[in-house]
Amino acid sequence: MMQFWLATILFVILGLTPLVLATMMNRRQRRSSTRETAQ
Amino acid sequence: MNYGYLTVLVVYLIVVLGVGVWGLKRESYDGYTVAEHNVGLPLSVGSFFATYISSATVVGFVGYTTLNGAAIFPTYFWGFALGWITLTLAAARMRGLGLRTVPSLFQARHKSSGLRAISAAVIVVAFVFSVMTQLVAGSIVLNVVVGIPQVVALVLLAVVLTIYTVMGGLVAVIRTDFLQGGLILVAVLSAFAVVVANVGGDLFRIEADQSNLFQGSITSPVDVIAFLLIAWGGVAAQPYYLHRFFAAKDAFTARQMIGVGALLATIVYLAIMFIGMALPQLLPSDQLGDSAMIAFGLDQGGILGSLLLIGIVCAVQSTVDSALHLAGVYTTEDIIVRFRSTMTEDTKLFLARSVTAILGVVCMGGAIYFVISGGEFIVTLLNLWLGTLSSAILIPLYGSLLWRRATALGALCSSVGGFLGYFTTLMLTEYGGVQVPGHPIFYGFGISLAAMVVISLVTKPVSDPEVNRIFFGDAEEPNQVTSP
Repeated sequence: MMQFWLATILFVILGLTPLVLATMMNRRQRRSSTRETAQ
Repeated sequence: MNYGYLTVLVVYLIVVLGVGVWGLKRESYDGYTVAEHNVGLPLSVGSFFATYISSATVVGFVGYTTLNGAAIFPTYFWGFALGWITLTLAAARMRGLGLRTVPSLFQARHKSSGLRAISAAVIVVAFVFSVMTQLVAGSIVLNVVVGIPQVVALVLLAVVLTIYTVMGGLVAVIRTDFLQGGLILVAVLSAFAVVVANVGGDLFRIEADQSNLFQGSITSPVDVIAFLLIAWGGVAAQPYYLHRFFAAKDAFTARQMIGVGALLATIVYLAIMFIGMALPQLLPSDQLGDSAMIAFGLDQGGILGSLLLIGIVCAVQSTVDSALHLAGVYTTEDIIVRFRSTMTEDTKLFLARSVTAILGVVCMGGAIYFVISGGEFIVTLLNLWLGTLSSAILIPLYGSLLWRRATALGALCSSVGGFLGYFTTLMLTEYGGVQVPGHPIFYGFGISLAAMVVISLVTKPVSDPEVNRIFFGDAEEPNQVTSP
């Protein structure tokens, strides 16, 4: 039973990682391009 | 014959054909191949998600979970999620290349048209088998649920998707994917809601044997690693998804397409897993396995039965149209056009459409042959070619994309070595009766990785400023300023 919930939690973490990564990477790229434009 | 389901099916086919071909402007070759590199986030997400969810997901994964419980995680789900993470990390770089096809990456990076043609041939053959198996699977569902003869069902599915793919290219594929993705999501979530209504709080009552990760295809920790490799490699090297990066309008869209698409896929997988866990409480044991989802839909009937039927048809068509489109485009762009580089864009467009139509007819004919002859080996052929895709494409592709020291000979040996490593080991174990330790994927992946690293390191890299700029973001050499 415990094993099942741990497996599910691991999958949810892995499954949400792309959204978190994409959002962070896009935000960083936007910030750096804004900085370049300002200079 | 069930005339209610038949009406729902015919209405769906008319609507999807209309969405595919309605309002299409005169198309360019760039539009046909990569939708002018201009697809926004909603359509990109819809297309990635719909292409991702195949009949294997809706029918096969539910069936696997009814029999093997939590083993679905190490067999498929964890590896797929690792594949999504890899795609997210590669998205911006792939989009930045501005290419039209995945195999053309090898020519852009290594100036190797041979490697480009080999990888295109591997992908096209894999897709032809993929299209045939999906069509056969879809026609079985229509035969069981609607009651129409299997060959008629197969022709209906194939003709509709071939027409809109040939007429509209990637634009039509993406548009119909968006509609199909929405319908798949509604169908799976509705089935989940009905399961919850039937079992209530018992949904979370997981039996001890369902909690065991080591059952079904997984018998040891070594199997966990083998299946993680297959699932991860199968997603990360899958041209369906990589091609969507070229179509996205910019790097931000390419990344977020995977981010949001993975979120939707996670939700659908969780719903499918819980449906599979609960169905043993609702169905007799002889209806578990691959027939479980169809038996559940038939048992419920009415709106849910119709939604599940359309969801499964959508899952089949959204995957098959992408495979057929890429097979047509890659045969044209990466193989035929290489022999006649003077072709105009209009000639290429006509050629791509003709090749797509011919492949559509060939796949339909092949699938009908398998239905009539009752051949089972088509599934074996598909598994063989999908494993080959992971072994022959994954390492050369990502090695070329991310590793500056990778050379053309290293990538070529990695691709051919990976293919031979996997193919030979699989043939020896499956048909030669030879006991080979470990899983065939270890040989394919291991040889591919070793060949890429060793041969690249012992061969001389070609330093090309253009390649370094496109692939690794090197700044161009400043022009020398001479004082007047």
